[in-house]
Amino acid sequence: MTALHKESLFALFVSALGVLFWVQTSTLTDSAAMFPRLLIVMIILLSAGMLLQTARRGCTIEGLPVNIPRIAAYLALLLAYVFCAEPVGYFIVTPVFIVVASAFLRAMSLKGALIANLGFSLFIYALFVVFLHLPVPLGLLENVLGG
Amino acid sequence: MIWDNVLLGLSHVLLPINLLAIAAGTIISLLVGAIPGLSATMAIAILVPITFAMPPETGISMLAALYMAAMYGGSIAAILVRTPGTPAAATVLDGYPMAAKGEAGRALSISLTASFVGGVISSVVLLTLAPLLGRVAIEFGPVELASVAVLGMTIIASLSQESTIKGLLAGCLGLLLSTIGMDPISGSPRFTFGMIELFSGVSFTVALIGLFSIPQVLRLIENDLLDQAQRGHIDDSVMPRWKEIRKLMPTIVRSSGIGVFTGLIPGTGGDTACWFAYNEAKRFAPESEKPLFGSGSPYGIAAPESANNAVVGGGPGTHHFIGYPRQFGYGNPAGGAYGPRHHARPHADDRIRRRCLYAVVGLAGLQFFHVWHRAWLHPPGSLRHAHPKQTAGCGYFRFQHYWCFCH
Repeated sequence: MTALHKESLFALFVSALGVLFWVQTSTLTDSAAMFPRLLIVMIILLSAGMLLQTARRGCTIEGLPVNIPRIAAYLALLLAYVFCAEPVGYFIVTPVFIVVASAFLRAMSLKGALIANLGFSLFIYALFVVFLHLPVPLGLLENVLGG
Repeated sequence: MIWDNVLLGLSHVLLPINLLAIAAGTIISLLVGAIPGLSATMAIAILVPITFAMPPETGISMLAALYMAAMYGGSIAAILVRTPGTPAAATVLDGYPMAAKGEAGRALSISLTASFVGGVISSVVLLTLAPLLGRVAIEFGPVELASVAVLGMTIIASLSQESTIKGLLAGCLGLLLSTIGMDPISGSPRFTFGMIELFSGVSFTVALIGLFSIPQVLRLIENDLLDQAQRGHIDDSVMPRWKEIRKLMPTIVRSSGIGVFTGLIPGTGGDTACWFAYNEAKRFAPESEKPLFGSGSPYGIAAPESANNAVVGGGPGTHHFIGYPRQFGYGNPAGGAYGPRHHARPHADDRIRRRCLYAVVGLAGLQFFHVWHRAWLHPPGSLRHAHPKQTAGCGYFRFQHYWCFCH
C-alpha cells in the first residue's frame, strides 16, 4: 500500500466523520453548531490539500505490508471480547482475551501472560469491586464474587 | 525565618509515619502511572478518603507523593511501551525511538533526572514565590486563557514541520473531538449520539491511549516481526551521566520554568506545559540536534518531563493562594488534606497551610533518592522493554527502597 493509498483512506475516513458530525449539527442550536461546522469545513479542505500534496510529491514511499488475515482475526477477537464481557463476565473474558491476544501478538510468554493476568485481575477486583463498589459485570461469576 | 519553616517542613516530612505514607503513595502511584489508562488523578481520587483520617501534613505528603510519582511513572510506559501513562505525551515522541535504538536506559535516566530537577525547581518556587505568582494567576481571565489556547495551537506549526497540512488537519480533528460533550455556552449535548458516557466529553487519557497505544497494537498486528528486533534487554546504564545532564541542564531549567508558570494558570496542566516545553526545546536546541527531534533526541525527553513535574509546584500555588484548583489532579490533594479540617482559601489557618506547603517542599529533598535508587535497583540488563508488567515491578522495587529508607 503506497503512502497515497493510505492517505486517501485516511482522508476518506475523516471526511466521512466530518459529514456525520455535520448531519448531527442540524439538531444543535446555532451557537453550538457554529464552531464544529467551521472545523468540519477545515477538515475536509485540509484532507483534500493533504492528498494533493502527496500526489504532487509522488507516491514513492511504500508503506508496510498489511497482513489482512491477522487484522481480521484480531478485530474478531476484539469484537468477541466486547460482546462477551457483559454476559460472560469481565473476570472470565478479560484474562482469556489478554492471554490469547498476548500469544497472538507474541508480546509475552504464556506463563508470563498467566501470571500477569492473575495479578491484574486480583488488582482490578480488589480496587473496583471490593474498594470502590463499582458495577463491574461479573456475569457467570455473579454468585461467586458478587456476594 | 524561611529556613526555620523549611526545617519545620522537613521535620514533618521525615517523621516515620509521613515517610511511610510517602512510600505507600509512591508505590501505588508508580504502579498507576506506569499503567496506561490509569492516571494520577485516579490514584488521588481513590486515596483521598483514606487521607481524611490522617493529620494534614501526612495526608498532603502522601497525596503529593502520589502525584509526583505518577507524573514520573507515566514516562516509564511512554518510553518502554510507547503509551504515555500521564498527559506528558511528548515524551513518547523521543523516548520510544531512543528505547527502540537500544538506549532505553539512557532515556529513562534522562527522564528521571529531568523529572527530579523539575520537581525540585517547582518546590523551591512554591516555597519562595508562590504568593507573588498566585497573585499573577488571579489576573488570568478569559482573554488570557484564550491567548494560551491560541499559543497552544501555534505549536502545531512547529511540531509538524514535515507537513504543515497534516499538522493542521490533526489539530482540527482534535478540536472537533474536543467539541463532543456538553456545549459550554448553550448547555446542550453535542455529538453524544445518545450515549450518556459522552456527555462529559472524550477523556484526555482515553484519547492518548487511542492515539498512541492503538497504533502500536495495529503495527504489531500488521507485521508481527516488526517489533521483534526492538524487544530486548536494556543493555545500557540507567545511571544519569553528568556530561549529558550538564548539556541538557539549560533545557531542563527552561522547561521547569515553563512548567511552573503553566501550572499557575487555572485550567491548564502537565499536558499543556509539556508541549510548550517540547516546542521551546526544539527551538533552542543546537542546530545539529534539531533534525533528531522525533527520532530519539535527549532534549525531547528532558523538556516534557521536567515541565510535567514542575507543574506540581504551580498547582498548589494557585490552589493555596486563590483557592482555585489548577486541575482536578491537584485540586484533590489539596482538598484531601484540607477538606475535613480547613478550606483552602487565603484566610485558611496559616500555620497548618504553611506546614503543608513545606511538607510538599520537603518532598523535593526526597526526590534525590529517586535518582540513586533507580540506578541501584535497575542495573543494565535488568529490564526488558515492551513488557508492561515489568514497569509495574519498578513500583514494587521503589517501595522496597523506601521501606529500607524508612527503617
